[in-house]
Amino acid sequence: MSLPCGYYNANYRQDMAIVRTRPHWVVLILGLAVLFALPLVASGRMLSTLNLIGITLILVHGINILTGYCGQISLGHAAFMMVGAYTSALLTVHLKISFWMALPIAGLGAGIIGLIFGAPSLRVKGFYLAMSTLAAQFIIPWIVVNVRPDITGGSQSFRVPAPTLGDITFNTQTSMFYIIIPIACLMTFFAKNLARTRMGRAFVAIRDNDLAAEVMGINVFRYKLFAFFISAVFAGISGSLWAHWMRVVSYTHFELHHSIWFLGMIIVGGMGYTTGAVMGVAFIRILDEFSATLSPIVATLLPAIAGQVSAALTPIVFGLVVLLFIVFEPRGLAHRWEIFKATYRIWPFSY
Amino acid sequence: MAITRRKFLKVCAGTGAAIGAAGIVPKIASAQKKPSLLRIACIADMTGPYAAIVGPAHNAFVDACQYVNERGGIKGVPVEPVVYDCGGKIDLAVSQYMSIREMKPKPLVTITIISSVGEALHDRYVEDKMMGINVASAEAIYPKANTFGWYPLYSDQFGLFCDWLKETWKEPRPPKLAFVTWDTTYGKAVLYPECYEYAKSKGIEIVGTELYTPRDIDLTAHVTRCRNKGADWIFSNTAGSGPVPILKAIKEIGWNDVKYCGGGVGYCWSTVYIAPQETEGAYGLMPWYGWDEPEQPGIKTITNYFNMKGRSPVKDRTVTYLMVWFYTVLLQDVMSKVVDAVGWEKLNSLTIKEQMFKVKNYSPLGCMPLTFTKDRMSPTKSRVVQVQGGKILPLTDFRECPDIRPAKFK
Repeated sequence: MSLPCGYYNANYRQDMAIVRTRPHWVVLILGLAVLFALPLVASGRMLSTLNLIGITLILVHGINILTGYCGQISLGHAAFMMVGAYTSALLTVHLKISFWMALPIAGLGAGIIGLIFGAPSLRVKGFYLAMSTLAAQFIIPWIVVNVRPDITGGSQSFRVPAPTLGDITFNTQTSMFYIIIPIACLMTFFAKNLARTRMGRAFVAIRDNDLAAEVMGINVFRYKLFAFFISAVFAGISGSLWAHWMRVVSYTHFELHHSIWFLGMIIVGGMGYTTGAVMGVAFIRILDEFSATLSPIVATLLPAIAGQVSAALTPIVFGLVVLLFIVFEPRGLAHRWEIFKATYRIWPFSY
Repeated sequence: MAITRRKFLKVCAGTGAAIGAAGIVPKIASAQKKPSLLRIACIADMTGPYAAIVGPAHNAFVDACQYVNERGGIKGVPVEPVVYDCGGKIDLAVSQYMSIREMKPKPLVTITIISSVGEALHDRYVEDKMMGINVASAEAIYPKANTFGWYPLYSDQFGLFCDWLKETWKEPRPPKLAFVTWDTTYGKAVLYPECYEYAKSKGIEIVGTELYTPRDIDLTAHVTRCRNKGADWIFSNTAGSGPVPILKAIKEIGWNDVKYCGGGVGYCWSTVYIAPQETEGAYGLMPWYGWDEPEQPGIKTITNYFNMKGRSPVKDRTVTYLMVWFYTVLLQDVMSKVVDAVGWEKLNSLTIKEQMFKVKNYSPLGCMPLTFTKDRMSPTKSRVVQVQGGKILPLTDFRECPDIRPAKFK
């Protein structure tokens, strides 16, 4: 009996490799080269959108680890992002700590807060856990606004300096691109690898059946807390980058609907896939840009109905596309990508 | 060497021609630098939380620019509006600003009709040598840089209200006031310590501060607490439908002897349209002539255009429509003066900014008294109004607002 044609792994090392074939390496290197050369040709708006995608991607990877791999739902990730943003802002403004130091501290700070709000995951799951993480979305902003408004700015916005490195100030979209995108790439690599470790397999076991996982000897509570910690670290780093990219932070930047949309991104992209996070974030952010760009064009082309159409177009296009997408591809873009890859591998000889 | 008369005349003619050319050529070059188009940009929340008020920004810019262009534009150069809808999303607004920044010709002024966006762009305007006009959030305007306020700061207008309340208060005891306002940057812009101190200095006792979110619809508990504390007045800095739950709660608990004042820009026609019965008799602050003063020539002009273009009396008849008109006309005047003073080649955001500081008691279309100084970069005059018979009518003339911006910005 002969095996179907295709590429076969002959040892464990090949089996574990992320980049397995020479064409993979070529595509990866070319892709990274094109990505990092983009600022040479891209407009400021495109770079701004890419920076935003990069920042959001880091956070959504965190949600993917927590929800997609470990099966723990969170409605408080915008609040964890806020912790990172304010930690970084306060350290750089009040303590004059460098952004490069503030960034990991922001991640750790958010991670610790994530642990606290993840603690109820021992006792509750599903919608109940969602409700308990929702508490973060109310408690953290309240603390930021009310506890020490003299330090945090309270309900007023808090200005954040641009990152610096020697004499270089990263105050343009291009310069921030070279901070955000490498970090996003590293975090993507980390997220991808995490799923392939002992911890990642424990997460998946807990997601699939936490009772069975416990019977197999997995310390469920410990790993759930790990998932919350790592996920919140991702959110904290994302928040720090947000603060220094936006150059201002306010508690209104991190509201409940942001948390819901972050979950929406991973649903659209495909839960449990690293590529799903990338695709979901890119899809939603580009759709956002597209629908916002479309309405003034329609308003210009159809001035008679400009007021009515332009006001309604953005939310309608946005809502409709997401709705249709979820109806027709509930397993996300990444699933579609997997089908494409499986088909492509044996094309044109499907035997 | 002796010079002949012929040579002397030749030298004189040559020198004269050279001097003449030196004078004429730059003028020709200057004339050639006259642009074919000038742009004003706007980033507004036309479909997000503030859509009820800001929604008509696009229509307003189109109509106002048509008006300005029919009157010669900027020294013969037409003005084109560039309007972006950010849907209340600050990240999207920053991306849109990047488009504005790279546009050719680059818009000379960017108007942002959402506080948080103005705050995010404050430093970027300086780095990009751009000029912005933003709604009256102190954080968007100060520290003094390249951003001007659209209207007096919310805190300054609250100060004007305190002045007026002190003057009109008849009883021997001090008036008691409670804040019931949004738990947002905008709502809390009247809750600076300076606001409390100013009220106290005017003999007004602040008896309570209640916060609610824009999504709250039942404020009975908040309003009841204010009644229990003996408040005579409720002051709120909210927009669109924001005042409605307060006014409904006042009616529902049968609290007839309390008065309500809406601060800032939020209390306007869209609010009256949403709740005509509840808003009847309520007070507000308004730094311009409004839709219900049709005898005012400027309002008459705007109303004519409004009707001519078939704009919606429900959706477009908001304060944003008026404000866009006032500032488009103001910018026509300011930019024309810059061209007169420094020529086309030096017409840029920074020269416009300098010219803005020379705006003293100027009223575009006679509708809104404006004065800008290097110290105070937002307008300084407002007036007290009241809803009477479904119309917003003035109770006072335009008056100087006290400067009670936060101390850190002085």
